[in-house]
Amino acid sequence: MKTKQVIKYLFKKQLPLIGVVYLTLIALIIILPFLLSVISGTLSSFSIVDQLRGGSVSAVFGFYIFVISTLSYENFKFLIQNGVSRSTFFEAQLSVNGLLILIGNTFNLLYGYLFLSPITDNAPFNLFTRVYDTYFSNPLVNGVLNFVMSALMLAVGSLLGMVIGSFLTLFSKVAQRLILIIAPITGGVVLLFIFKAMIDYRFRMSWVVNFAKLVLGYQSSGAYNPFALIISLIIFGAILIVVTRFLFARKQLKRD
Amino acid sequence: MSMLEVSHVSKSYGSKSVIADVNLAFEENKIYGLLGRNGAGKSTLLNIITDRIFPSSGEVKIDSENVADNDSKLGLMYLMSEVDLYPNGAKLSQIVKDSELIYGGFNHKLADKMIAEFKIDMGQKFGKLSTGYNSIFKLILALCLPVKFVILDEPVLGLDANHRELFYTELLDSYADNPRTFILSTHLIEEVANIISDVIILDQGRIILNQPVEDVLAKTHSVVGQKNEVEEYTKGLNVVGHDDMGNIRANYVYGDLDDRRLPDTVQLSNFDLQKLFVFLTNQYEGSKRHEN
Amino acid sequence: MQFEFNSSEPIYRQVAEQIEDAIASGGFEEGAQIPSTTEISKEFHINPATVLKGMNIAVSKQLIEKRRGLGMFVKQGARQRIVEAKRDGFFDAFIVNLVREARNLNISEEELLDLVKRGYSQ
Repeated sequence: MKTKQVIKYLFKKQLPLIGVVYLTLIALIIILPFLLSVISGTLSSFSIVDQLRGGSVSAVFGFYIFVISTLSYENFKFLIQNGVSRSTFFEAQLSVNGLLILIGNTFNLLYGYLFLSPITDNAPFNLFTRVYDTYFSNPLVNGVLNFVMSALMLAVGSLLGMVIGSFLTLFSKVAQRLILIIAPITGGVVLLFIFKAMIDYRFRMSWVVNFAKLVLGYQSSGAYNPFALIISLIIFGAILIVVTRFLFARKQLKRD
Repeated sequence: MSMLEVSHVSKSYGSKSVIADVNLAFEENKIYGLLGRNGAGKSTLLNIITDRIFPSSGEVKIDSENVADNDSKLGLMYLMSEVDLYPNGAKLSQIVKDSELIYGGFNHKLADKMIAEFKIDMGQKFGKLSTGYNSIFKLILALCLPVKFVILDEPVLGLDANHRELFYTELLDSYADNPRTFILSTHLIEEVANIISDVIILDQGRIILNQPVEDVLAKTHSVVGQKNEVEEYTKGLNVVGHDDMGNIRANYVYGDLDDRRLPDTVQLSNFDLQKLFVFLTNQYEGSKRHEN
Repeated sequence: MQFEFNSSEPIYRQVAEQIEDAIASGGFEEGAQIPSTTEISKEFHINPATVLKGMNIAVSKQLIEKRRGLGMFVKQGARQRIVEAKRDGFFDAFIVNLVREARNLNISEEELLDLVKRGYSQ
């Protein structure tokens, strides 16, 4: 098995991108708004703290890990040229994404707890700190649970990216473009329909909402139960791993 | 010891059959020529052998073990193909490093020699290479990576005459230093005719010839003389082609001659692989186009 | 060494003939080393197994010999053996054709002998 070598190759290739992502992030949430306020003459009301509070590091990192996870065909080409099997590629890609998530998640939480919280009066900086962190009162337990939950969310995002990316590479370029146009439109229509239905009282009592409540660990009073979401993420992630494995095994060189 | 076997491999796209029940065995340390016209299915077959695409049926084995999804077997092969599978933005030296990491070895001495001979700048990006240098770079990888089966699909694409000469010299030098199996897939038969030890001809997805070159050439006979005498002599033989010049007729026979008596006025000799290839793949258009 | 190959005769036989010719003409001297299989293979783009087969013919004709670890060398007396072999084949290779052609041209036996004498006197 060449898993170790392939991990090394993929990791070396994808790690520098994290730096690029965080630099872009700084540009987006600090420099760009600063320049805008200079141009519009509202510099006096510009506050770095407000900008930092408003920008979600986790969301941007999640987006990054999702995007790089979709781009598997480039790596497949190089690896199949070098005699690497699809299952090794799958295992290595999974390991590398895991490593990247570990790095990014650690950075995100350190940034949140050690930098953002102190300067923003302990304002919530991710999903966990928003709705789950009063379930336990011990800050250490909360920190650990936050780490686990955030990492799992990133993992699911990454696996979704892998599924979508490898699903698309089963098709020709033309079909891919068609899917990329049609799928978001269909998705949008469906979402619209759901939102409309949610305004309806009867829908509010339906199984969909109950299911969502179950997954999120909703409780009518006080903080949500973090374990509900953690377990849901694990189950969802496991399903996605099986689907990804299936799709990776079907990768082949395209005829264009 | 290392034997690459293709058994009952077929591939079709929709209703179009590209490869039809191909059976082949590549033995250790031989140089094979896989010949076929454009579109005969050579590249498809090579892509199946290296697990880049899936066959519709059949399997490929190395030492009786299926190569599909098998690192240790896939790592014994390197396919240099026309399609580029390297990232366009990567520097050549980086690609070498990455390939070395994954294959677990690289003959830097030979690579340095070839880099100097072909005058290729390893600081360039892969996507910026001309067709010729693209081929040269991939040939360097093919000869320097530690594999048992070096598979070259149209290896001299875009190379000028000097570079071709240089490449064949390097190929044979590297083969002498480190004997391994080569599969040269090409439609430029004359250039490889003396290099290969075995010839495989693929036509419309089927193997129509698979033999040692020497045996093949021993079975080629050109029979030249008066038309009626030539026709009389070759009656019942496997005549694969002919040329006419006035009343003089040349019949090209592929197969063994029996003990029939050769008239004094009829001349018998052998003809070459290129001619045989043209006849067998139904491209026969008379001698004019094929005289060099 | 000046090898020239044609495409209608098996290459290994041509390799053997070329070695023989080079020895006969003095291009390869007796006791001297001749190019290795690899050198010939690289120089003329011929499969080394084919070259080796040609060399083996020359070996079996006692023209060259392998010295372990050193390479191939022209044997003592090789040139003499080639001359003898060529003499043996001279009648079949040249005389038969010569006489046939002479008959086609209505050249008599005496006229032919005169022509041969003229050839020698030049």
